Amino acid sequence: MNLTIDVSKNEDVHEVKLSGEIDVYTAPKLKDTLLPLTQERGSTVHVYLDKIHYMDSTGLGVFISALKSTKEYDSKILLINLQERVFRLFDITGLKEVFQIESSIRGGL
Amino acid sequence: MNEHLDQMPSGFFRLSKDYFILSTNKTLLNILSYNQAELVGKFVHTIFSNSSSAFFQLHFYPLITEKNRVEELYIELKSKSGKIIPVLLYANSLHNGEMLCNVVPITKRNQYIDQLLEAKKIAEKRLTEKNELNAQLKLTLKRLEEKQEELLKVNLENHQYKKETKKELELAKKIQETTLTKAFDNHHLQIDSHYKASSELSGDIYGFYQINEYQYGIILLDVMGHGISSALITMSLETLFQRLITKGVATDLVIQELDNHLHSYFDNNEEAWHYCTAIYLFVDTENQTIEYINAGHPPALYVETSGQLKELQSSTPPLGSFKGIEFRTTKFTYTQGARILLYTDGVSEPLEHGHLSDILKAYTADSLKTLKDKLMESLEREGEEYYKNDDQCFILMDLK
Repeated sequence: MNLTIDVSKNEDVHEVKLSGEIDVYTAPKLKDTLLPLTQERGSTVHVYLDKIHYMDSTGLGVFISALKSTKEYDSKILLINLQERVFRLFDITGLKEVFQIESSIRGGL
Repeated sequence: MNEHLDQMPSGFFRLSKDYFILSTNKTLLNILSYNQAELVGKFVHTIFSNSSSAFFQLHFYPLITEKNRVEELYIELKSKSGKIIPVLLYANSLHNGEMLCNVVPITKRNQYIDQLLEAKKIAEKRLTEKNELNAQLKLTLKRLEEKQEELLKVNLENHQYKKETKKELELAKKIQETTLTKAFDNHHLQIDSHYKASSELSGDIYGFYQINEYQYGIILLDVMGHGISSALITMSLETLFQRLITKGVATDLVIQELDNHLHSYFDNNEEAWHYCTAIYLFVDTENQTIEYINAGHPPALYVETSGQLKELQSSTPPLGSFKGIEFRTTKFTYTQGARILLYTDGVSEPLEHGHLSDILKAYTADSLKTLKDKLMESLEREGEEYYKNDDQCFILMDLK
C-alpha cells in the first residue's frame, strides 16, 4: 500500500495532489499533511484525487477530520476529480452532500 | 704474491709475535685510510677501537696461543679518521710465532642484519597487531554470541507474547461474537446473518431484537477501520443500542443517542476519533411498516416477491462525524413476503456494483438459507481480492 502526496501553493490555494491508495496504513500520513493546511485560518485547499484508485473508511475519516477543521478555522476544502469508486464512497455515506466536490476545475490538472 | 694480496677483497695484515704490525695489504690500508708507513711497526691496537682492544686481549690471545688459529672473531677496527668498521677476523699463527690476520668488513652484513631485525620487528609488530585483532575478534564474537543468545531469548519471548496475544484475541473474538444476536424464525419474521472479521476482531456489529409482540428492531453498524480499536468501539455501541432498542426507544432517538455517544467518547481526542456508519430498521408487523434511518451506511435492499427493488439509502453522514445532525426517520409500508438485505461495505465493495441487487432479485422464490449460501459463495468466489481485506457482515430478513 502506497500513497504519494505532492503539496504546492498556487497563489492563495494549497494544492494537494494524491496518488495511490488511502487506507489504514497511509491515512495517518495524509492526515498529518492535510490537517495543518485546513487549520490555517481562512485557507483554501484543493485536493486532487484522480490518481487515487482505492480508499477505505479510514481514508474517508481523514477527509471528515479535514472538513471539520475547516469549520473551526474558517478555511475551505475542495475535492477534485474523484474516480468513480471513490466518488461512490462519498455518495453512499451521504458525504457527497457535505463536501464540495468538483469533477474538474479550470487551471487544475 | 704480494700483488695478489693487495687485490684481495678482504684486509690482510701480518703480526709479529709481540703483536706489532709487520705488513699489510692495500685493501686494509684502504679500509682504514692509512698508508703503509703509518701502520707498519705499530702495535696492533692502533687499528682497534677501545672496546675492541680489550676484547682482542680477552679472546684473541688465548685462542691463538692455544689453538693457533682464530675464526670469525667479531671486532671493530678504527680508521685513521676514527670511523668504526666492524669486521670478522680470521688468524693463523706461524711456526716462528708470527700471525697472519685476515679481516672481512661486515658493514653490509650489519645492514642486512639491521634490515632483518627491522623486518623481524615489523613482523612482530604485525603479529602483535594480529593477536590484538584476534583478541578483539574473539571479544566481538563473544559479544555476538551473547547478542544472539539475547535475540533468541527475545524471539522466544516474542513468540510467547504472540501466542498469548493470539489466544487473547481469539478469546476477544469469541466474546465479540457472543454479543451478536442469533438467527430466529417466527410467524412474523425470519432473520439470519453472516459475520466474518478481516482479522480476529471486527469493526462491524449488529443486533436484531423483538421489542414486543409485533415490533422488532434491526441494526447494523460499521466502525471506521477494522481490528482491535474498531472492535472495542463496537462493544461500547452494542451495549448502548441493545439497551435502547429493547426499550422500544424511537428510531431517531436510537440513532441520535449512538451519535451523541460517539461524540462524547472522542470529544477532544482527535487521535482516537472514529466514526461509524449505521442503519436501523424498526419493523412493525402489525401495521406492516418499516421505519428506518441510514446514517452513511451502504443502502439496504428491499425486494418484493414481484422482484421490485427499493434501496434504503443514506440520508445523513455517518455517526460521530459532524455534531448537530438531525436524524430523520423514513417510513414505508412493506408487502408480505418481502425480503431485506442489510450489509456493510466489506460485502458490497468486492462485488460488481449492482451485483447484490441482481442476486436478491434472482432468488426471491428461494429460501433465506439458499440466498445466504449464494451470497457467501459470491463473496468467496467472485469478490475482488483487492477489496476483501475488510470485515464482512450482512443480515437477511424475510417479512412474513
